[in-house]
Amino acid sequence: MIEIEDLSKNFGAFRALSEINLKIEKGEFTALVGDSGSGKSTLLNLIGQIDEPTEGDILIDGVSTVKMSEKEKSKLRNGKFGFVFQAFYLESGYSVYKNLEIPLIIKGVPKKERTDIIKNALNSVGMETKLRLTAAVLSGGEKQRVAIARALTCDPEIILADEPCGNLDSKNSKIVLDLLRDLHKKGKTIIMVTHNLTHTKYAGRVIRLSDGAVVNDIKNP
Amino acid sequence: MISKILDLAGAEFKSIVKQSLLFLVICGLVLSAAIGVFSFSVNLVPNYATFLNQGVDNGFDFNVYPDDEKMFFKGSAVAGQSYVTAPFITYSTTLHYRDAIYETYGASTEILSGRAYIFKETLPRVFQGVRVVKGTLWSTEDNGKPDGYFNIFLRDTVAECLGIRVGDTLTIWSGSTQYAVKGIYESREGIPAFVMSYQACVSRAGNDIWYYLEADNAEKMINVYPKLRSIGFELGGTMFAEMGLMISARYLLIVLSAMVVFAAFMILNNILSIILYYRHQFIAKLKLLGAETSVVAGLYFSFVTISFVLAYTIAVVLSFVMKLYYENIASALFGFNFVIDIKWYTLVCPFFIGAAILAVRFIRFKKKVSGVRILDFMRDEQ
Repeated sequence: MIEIEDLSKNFGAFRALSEINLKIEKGEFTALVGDSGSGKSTLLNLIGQIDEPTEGDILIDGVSTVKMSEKEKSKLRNGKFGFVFQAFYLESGYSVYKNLEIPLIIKGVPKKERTDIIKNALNSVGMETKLRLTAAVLSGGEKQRVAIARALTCDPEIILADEPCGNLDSKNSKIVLDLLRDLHKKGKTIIMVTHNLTHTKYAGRVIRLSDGAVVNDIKNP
Repeated sequence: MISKILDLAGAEFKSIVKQSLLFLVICGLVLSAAIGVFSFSVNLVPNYATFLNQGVDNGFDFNVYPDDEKMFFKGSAVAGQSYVTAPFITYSTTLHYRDAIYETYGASTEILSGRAYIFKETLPRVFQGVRVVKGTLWSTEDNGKPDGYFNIFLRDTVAECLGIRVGDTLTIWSGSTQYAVKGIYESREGIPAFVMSYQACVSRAGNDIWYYLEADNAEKMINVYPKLRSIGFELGGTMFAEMGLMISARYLLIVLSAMVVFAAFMILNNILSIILYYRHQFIAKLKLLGAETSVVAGLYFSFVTISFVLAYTIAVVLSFVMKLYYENIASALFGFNFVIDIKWYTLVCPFFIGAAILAVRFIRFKKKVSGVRILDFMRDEQ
């Protein structure tokens, strides 16, 4: 469970988030929506421990993250969270296999186990045949599916997806959203940032942000 | 953690090599130059370390010359016979190695005197092996011995410097005939610089036979050298001067080699900076995926360390190849036939200096890696 308590974030004089209080239950598919600059990506980054709040705290399974060491936060990013971004953030010079192998190496998974895990992850996104291709030669949709596969390699409980369909056409967007839905069905907690309201139909909960504050929080819309 | 670093290095190796291959090659060459110059400098005075600590068997010579009043011979020539009443020799800095002094006495047209005594030492241990070049044939009266005896004179101050005391046994070795004669260093008739005489030398004036002197009880050369200088053996055209020059050059080259080693590690340092510049996005990705700072720093640092070891290995091999050229250069510069041994410490020193610099550098690099923010790379890539 993720508990957000009085969370604020300032960028200089600009207040990006203001005293957010939320609870996201395990297994929820939550969509964060709002206009550009509303603070939805900032909130996702804070949950994912890739940024630090100005005030407030985020509790992951009841454990405060504010006072966590960098090492503990790294462990959370590696094992607890899976990240999917609009820009994919694959290493373009690496093969698909290597891109997926990195989080496993970081986790310390033995080499002989990695291949099976990588193949399973690619199977789950329909990319098993692209194992040896360089990431640079993949299409946008394929890259995002590989990014999702990478997010799954360490079997995280929570998938954080920031505009996962932002760079995709509608066909590929559907594929990606279906994948996220499947993951949700398998028990993963999904938090997805999107500005496209049609994508919210995949989510069981929609939280709208505006000017850094939660203005709407609807379950089972 | 090490297995994580090595696995990541395996994945990242290609990218890094692409970015920094040129720098690696330069580093290897510079490092080999460092080892080479260092080896050369250490070998510039052959066996210098041993020389300093134990006394050695390498060149050290000084001139022996009739005293300043030209009292090489005192006496008169009678019926072709020279009578020398007070033969003694002191030292002069004005003469040079192998200079010859001829004197003619009385009305006789016969040249009775020989050449100046010129010692050339080889000192396998302490004062072992003063080489006597071109001995002089003395008349019977010179030393009360039959012809064929030689006198070798040591001024008392020099003898004192060399740690030779009256009563010490000195051994003369003939380099050509391999026989030895012992003599006693003694003081005669109050003449302070005196004499050891020995029999059956085959040398005659003008012959170029080398003799070696051994002393039972003498000081180490490192102590003797400044003392000799203090009594007037200034650097000049003799072996002293050559050695002085070599020692100066040696220190210069050691400083130079240290600078070259430093330059090599500056290049390695730059490789780290280049990595940080070109790969900071990837570093941020690694951190996003949960890599700890120490793992990321270790990844690139292991690369630089491997590079260093590779460059070092190449440098060692190159050093042995370049040794031949150094020897030629040394011969051309100093006119000696050098045999340069690459010593273990000339190889090990640059390695440890490098390792120390890298260790310090690692701390700084880790700090920089820790400063790479994930969000910054996300903005860059967008």
